[in-house]
Amino acid sequence: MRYILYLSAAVLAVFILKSCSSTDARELPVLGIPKIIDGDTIPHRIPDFTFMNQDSQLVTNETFANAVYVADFFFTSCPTICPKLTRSMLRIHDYFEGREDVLFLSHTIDIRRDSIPRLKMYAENLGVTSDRWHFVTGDMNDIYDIAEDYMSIAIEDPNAPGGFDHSGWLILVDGNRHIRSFCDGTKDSDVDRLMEDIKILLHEM
Amino acid sequence: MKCRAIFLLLSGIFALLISINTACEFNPHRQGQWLYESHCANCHMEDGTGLANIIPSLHQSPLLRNETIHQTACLIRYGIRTPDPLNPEEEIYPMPPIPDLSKTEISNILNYIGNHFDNRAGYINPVELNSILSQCPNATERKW
Ligand code: HEC
Repeated sequence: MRYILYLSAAVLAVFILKSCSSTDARELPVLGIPKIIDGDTIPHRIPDFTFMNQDSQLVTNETFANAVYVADFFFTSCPTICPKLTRSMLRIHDYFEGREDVLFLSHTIDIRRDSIPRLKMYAENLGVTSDRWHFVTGDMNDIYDIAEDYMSIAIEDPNAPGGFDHSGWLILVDGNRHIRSFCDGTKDSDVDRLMEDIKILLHEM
Repeated sequence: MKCRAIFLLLSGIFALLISINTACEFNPHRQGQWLYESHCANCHMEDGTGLANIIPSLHQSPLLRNETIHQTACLIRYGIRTPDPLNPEEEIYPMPPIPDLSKTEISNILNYIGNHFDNRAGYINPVELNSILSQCPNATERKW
């Protein structure tokens, strides 16, 4: 009888220890649909891009080469979910305060109204700078195309509130341009999980 | 056997007590809170703190006092249009109008936010909103 008790305690202990260590060693997958070229499987990557940020600086893939970054799509006069997304981005930004290897990239999908001075005002009203958070604009098609590479939706739609339809994902990208995680930016618990994934990714670098 | 019967009886009573307790839990702002969370919380946030200098916090809001809360009925129905200081032809940071909320729904929202987030506006009823909503300044800018 007593042996059975000891044995089950031991088994339990092993289980507990194992489940703890496996969370530490958790690895993030590379997301997106891979391409198969000449029999080789090439994981999905964010393609080359060139946009301009709130301080009229060019922002390219190089800007994020030694960092992980969180990307989203928004517009300043958005009447729906953008403020909630931005607030989630801000929460992540503040949580990793001072870390220059955790950066942020918000693409406007309202090229016509969101001029560079207007993006600058938005960043200032939010209390953040282009040291870590880039609000970018560029060619409309480039932005709509790259949204698909971020597995997001961004399209002009006169029937949608505010004139644009877009999804609420926050996308986590690593230094090799691979998407490693994402979350629903309108759900706090999902954003918490993304922050844990950022820590895992930083460990990997 | 007897032991078991007593145990079952006790757990039955316990379960009953719990269900009575939760059913009686009284939330006077249930609809108001629900409407707030579906129509307003994406901007003002569930906790009412807003977004930095972009969306105002509703905590101790000057527009959610006893003397002012009626005006907020107009804001909910007609929205707020804010001209972009960089280009007055354009708008920025709008609060969208919600024309199809009923007076009861508007007063439920007002009674929720007027008595949450550190506000103490007291209560208004839908009938009071009749005259207020008919006198809203349908203006493009906030002038109240
Ligand atoms: C799309 C975002 C958005 C939504 C949705 C929204 N608001 Fe607002 N709200 C704003 C903005 C922006 C302002 C500030 C406008 C200004 O003063 O120019 C504001 C201002 C207010 C104010 C005045 C606060 C103050 O101190 O000036 C109140 C009260 C308010 N909103 C309540 C609500 C309620 C109730 C709802 C839901 C029925 C709601 N809002 C939905 C963006 C929004």
